[in-house]
Amino acid sequence: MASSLANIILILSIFFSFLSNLFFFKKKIKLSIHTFNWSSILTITSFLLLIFYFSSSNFSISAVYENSHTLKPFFYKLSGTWGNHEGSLLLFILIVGLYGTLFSLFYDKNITFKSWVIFFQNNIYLIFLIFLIVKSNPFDLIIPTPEEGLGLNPILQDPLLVFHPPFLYLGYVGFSLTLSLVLAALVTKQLDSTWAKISWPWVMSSWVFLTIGITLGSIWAYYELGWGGYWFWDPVENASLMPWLAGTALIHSLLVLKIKNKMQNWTALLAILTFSLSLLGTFLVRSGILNSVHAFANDPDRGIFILVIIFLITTISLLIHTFYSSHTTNYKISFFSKENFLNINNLFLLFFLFIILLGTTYPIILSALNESISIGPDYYNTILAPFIFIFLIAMSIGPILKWSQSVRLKDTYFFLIVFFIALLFSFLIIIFSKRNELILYLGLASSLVLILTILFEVSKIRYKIHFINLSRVFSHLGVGIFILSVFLNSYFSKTKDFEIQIGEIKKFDNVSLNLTNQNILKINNYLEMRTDFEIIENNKLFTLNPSIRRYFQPDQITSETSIKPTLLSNHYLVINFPDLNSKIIGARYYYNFFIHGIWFGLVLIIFGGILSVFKKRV
Amino acid sequence: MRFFFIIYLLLLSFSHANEIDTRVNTISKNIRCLVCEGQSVYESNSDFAKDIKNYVKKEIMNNKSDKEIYDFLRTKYGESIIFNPTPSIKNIMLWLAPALFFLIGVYIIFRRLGASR
Amino acid sequence: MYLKKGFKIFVLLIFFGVLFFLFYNSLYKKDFEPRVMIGKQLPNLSSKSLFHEQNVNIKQISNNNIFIINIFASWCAPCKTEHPLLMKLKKNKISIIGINYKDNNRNAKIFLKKYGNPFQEVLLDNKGELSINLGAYGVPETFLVDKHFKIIDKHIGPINNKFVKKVLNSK
Repeated sequence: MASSLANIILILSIFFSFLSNLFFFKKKIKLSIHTFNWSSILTITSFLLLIFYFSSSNFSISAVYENSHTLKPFFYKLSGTWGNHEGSLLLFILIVGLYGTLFSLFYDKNITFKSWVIFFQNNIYLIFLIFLIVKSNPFDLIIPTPEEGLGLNPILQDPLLVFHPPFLYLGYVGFSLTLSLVLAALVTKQLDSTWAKISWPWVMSSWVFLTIGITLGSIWAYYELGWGGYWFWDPVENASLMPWLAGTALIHSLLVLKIKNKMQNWTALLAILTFSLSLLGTFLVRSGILNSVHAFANDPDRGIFILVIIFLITTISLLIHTFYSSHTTNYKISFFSKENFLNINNLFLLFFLFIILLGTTYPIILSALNESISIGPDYYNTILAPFIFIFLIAMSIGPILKWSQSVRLKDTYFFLIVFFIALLFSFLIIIFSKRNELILYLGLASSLVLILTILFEVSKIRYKIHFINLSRVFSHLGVGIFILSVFLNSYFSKTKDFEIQIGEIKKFDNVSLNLTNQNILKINNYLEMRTDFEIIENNKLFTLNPSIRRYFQPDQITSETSIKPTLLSNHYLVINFPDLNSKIIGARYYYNFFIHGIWFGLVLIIFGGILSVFKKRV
Repeated sequence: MRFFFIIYLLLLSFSHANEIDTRVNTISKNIRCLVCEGQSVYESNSDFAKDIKNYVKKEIMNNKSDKEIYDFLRTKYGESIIFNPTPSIKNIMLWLAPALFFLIGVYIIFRRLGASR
Repeated sequence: MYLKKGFKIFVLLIFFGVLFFLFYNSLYKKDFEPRVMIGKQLPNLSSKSLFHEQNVNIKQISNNNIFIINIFASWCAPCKTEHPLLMKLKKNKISIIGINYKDNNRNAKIFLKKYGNPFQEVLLDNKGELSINLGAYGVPETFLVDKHFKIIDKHIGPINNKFVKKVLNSK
């Protein structure tokens, strides 16, 4: 009974979406926009209904039955709504609709353009809605109503993971509107700097949300997985990074279009690429084609559907681009001009994107030919490293340059001075830390060049703050700090595996660990074996309590890390699943150096992006 | 005198043990855990991962080289147990394609360069 | 100009068509199973026997016919499921060598007493080294080996009637 209501709402939603197309073809523009918005609102309603069913543990609804349990804490019952394939797909569709509706509310200048944007957005929305109803309906009825649900993966019962998917979706699903804006502009022959200014906040907000989503995922991986790291080049992680790289290239290309009215066709192409990669990511994660701790439940049939959708959307977009792209004027630019360096930015970002795309899909393509290989972090780190150094240097130079002219002499001197200071600094760090790896030196030097260039630049323009692009300053500074921290963390962290019994003390370098206690507690829906460790570092004492949990529903064992932040680093301790009979506990201790810098860098990047969404002038 | 000698040997064996552990860790990070979802043997706690780690440690103490250990595992489990494929005809695209991509990109950028108006 | 556009479209469609085809095919590929050892010679597996203190080498137990190697453990639930099929193979005079994976000797003996002993001999594998040598990664796993000690087939997980039939047919 209950789910019939939701299904009626969904059917109505599709009906209005079709109606919107019909009105559009009959040139009844206002109606086509209104019916789209009604459809969008109906989808939002159905999602709210799903949340209600989850929070009230209504097991007659299939999605609730398969993914929830009465013993789950209320907060996680709520968030369980989008912690499964069907619910998250509904959220996906909701966001496509939401971006369209918001655009229709905020934009009112050119009604033809607006109608085209809504038309394209509506069809992206419609195609996924049909997929949902036909193949992934969360509201399928289960009769008779089961007494209890099948529970949820305990790893997903984590606050960070609750917010990670919504932010990711607001990000890469938001690029659907970017695509619609581009296609509408192509078709109405309005792909110019005015269009770039209109699209800017929509593209930027999608990018910001995506960055936040990826950051949350990374923080979660650090705190939850217990592997001491924050990025593993896991295919699902890569699936979110790829649209991010394309989106970043798009933003920079959009900048050229906005200010100089150049690179129309290229910008349009990047927009298509960005959303296609978002779709590819969706496909990779849901189709069962990938082996990953993150992947959703496997279902090849769903995969086919999504694959077809991706190819339809991408091919049609590219066809539109081919037919409607305008003639490019033949202009030349000098090497040390801003345009050229923005082109270089695009080249490097797309190169990184290509490497990650290749590494992620190569095993899949090979498996279709009955071969199998594995690609791990080494491949990515080895190929990317040298190019990152050059990229950071280019990133330091670019903002100093002028549009369409070559660089001024005094700017050259300025840069060279900063460059040598950075080299010196890095050299001192290397000497002081007694390391001799070249890669470390290059990493430190190039990120310091970027950081110092920005700091010097800001200090020079003390009195004329409104002339600096503050958002660029924050984001680029964030990148510099991020990369610097990545290298410091990578080279100066330490790991130690050991076994220990109660009362024993282990010493590594200047840290001593003492297992003082070990007991078993019963909490909510799990059994916990908690350990107490006393840590002494340089005469400072603190405790860590790593534990192991055994969940009841479903039967699963997880390891909970215990982390102590200090000024420059983290003490990070995990225990392994012990032999139930023995008194010996296996543990792994990480000294994670400069991990705070990594988070801080990411926060700065996000902050710069937020500033940019709201800026009024160029 | 004997006392100090024993301490010296102990310390030597600790630092040696440290080296072995580091090497076990480095190698384990390159071996894929086949019963996990894409984790490396270093990261996993499954029985399979523990067995592999023990095996690696044993072989290191028998003075086997990294390559010998990887090769042995490849003959038993196939190419996909090792992260980072050995360069071969099949895999040449993994390095050739990026190179081509970058070179084409550089060419495209160069085409635009010249004296501006 | 239209020729150029037409050409672009053509290339586009071919490129995506190929990609689509590859991804489509890989969707239905079986989950990865290492089958590299099939067709290779059985490695020299030797270890203490579960039943007596002596070291046993698997190649000493020749019987001039095909035989089975079964990796099992008393703590492994699917092993209990497949056990009747192993007993059936034994009844059909197929020689089965067991590899007891990371188990407690006493528990293993109790397991065999309770469910029946299909094994001609059982080698102990407390460190998982024998399993690695066989290219196995879990429990249970079963190998079909011919009289020249060449590995003909393997089965991951509890064996089923199909596998039993295959074994009996290869006798």
